[in-house]
Amino acid sequence: MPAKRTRSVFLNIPYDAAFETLYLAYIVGLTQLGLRVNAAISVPSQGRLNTIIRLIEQSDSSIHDLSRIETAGGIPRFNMPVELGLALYRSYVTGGKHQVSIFETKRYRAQRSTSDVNGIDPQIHNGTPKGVMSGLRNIFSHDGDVTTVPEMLLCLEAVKTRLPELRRNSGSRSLFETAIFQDLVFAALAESQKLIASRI
Amino acid sequence: MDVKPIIIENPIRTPEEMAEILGVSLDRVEAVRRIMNAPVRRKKSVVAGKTVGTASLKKSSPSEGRAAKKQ
Repeated sequence: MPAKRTRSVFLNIPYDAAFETLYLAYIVGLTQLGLRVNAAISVPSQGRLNTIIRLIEQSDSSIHDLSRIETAGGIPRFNMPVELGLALYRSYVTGGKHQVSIFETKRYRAQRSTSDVNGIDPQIHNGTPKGVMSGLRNIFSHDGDVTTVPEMLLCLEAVKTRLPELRRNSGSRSLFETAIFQDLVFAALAESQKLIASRI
Repeated sequence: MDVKPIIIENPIRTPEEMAEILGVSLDRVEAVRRIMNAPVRRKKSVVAGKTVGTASLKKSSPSEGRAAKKQ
């Protein structure tokens, strides 16, 4: 077992097909920054709410993407704000040790939709992988070898190119299942190793 | 609230180390490594955000043939 504990982040994002590219960007970006990604889909479900609470407790920080909380089929999507509330409470009871970050597509929208969190400046990703990567680099700073945003984007492209094979390998019908989620993490780490090796 | 960068002290793990942390079989990692190391078989070219096809495999359609003749 590696000696040093791996810092972890709870990822709260929408799980739907329209968000697939940004979902991949989060996994690749966070993994390349040396973080363990905890998400509700990262473990087989044992009661969704209990799973989410446990994952937030286990995580050093959390990321909440509020870019798609608008109504879908006439129903607003409350899951992301609910999980944000759980993480904010976790941050409160840990005296700020659990750090909460918010991502949004549009500037100033989070301040209007969730004005209770106006003290947290959201990272604006404009709905692009590059925006996600830049936001992650704003939040997380690596002590050692630094992975640049262009490198993270190259890695994302490499993973996207192999998605059909990765899907077949895991037998997953969608990208939002436990098996392929873990395989995506391994794929991003394998690409990271190639990058690091190419620098030496 | 000022957002202070979170300093990550741990090194970037290898896939094998992460598999150990997650309690996943090393066979899974090996399979993913094989996929990521395999040469890319096809390459899609994208023009102005629109996928125009698989460069090496795509056969031109009759309409494309006509368009090519016009040019």
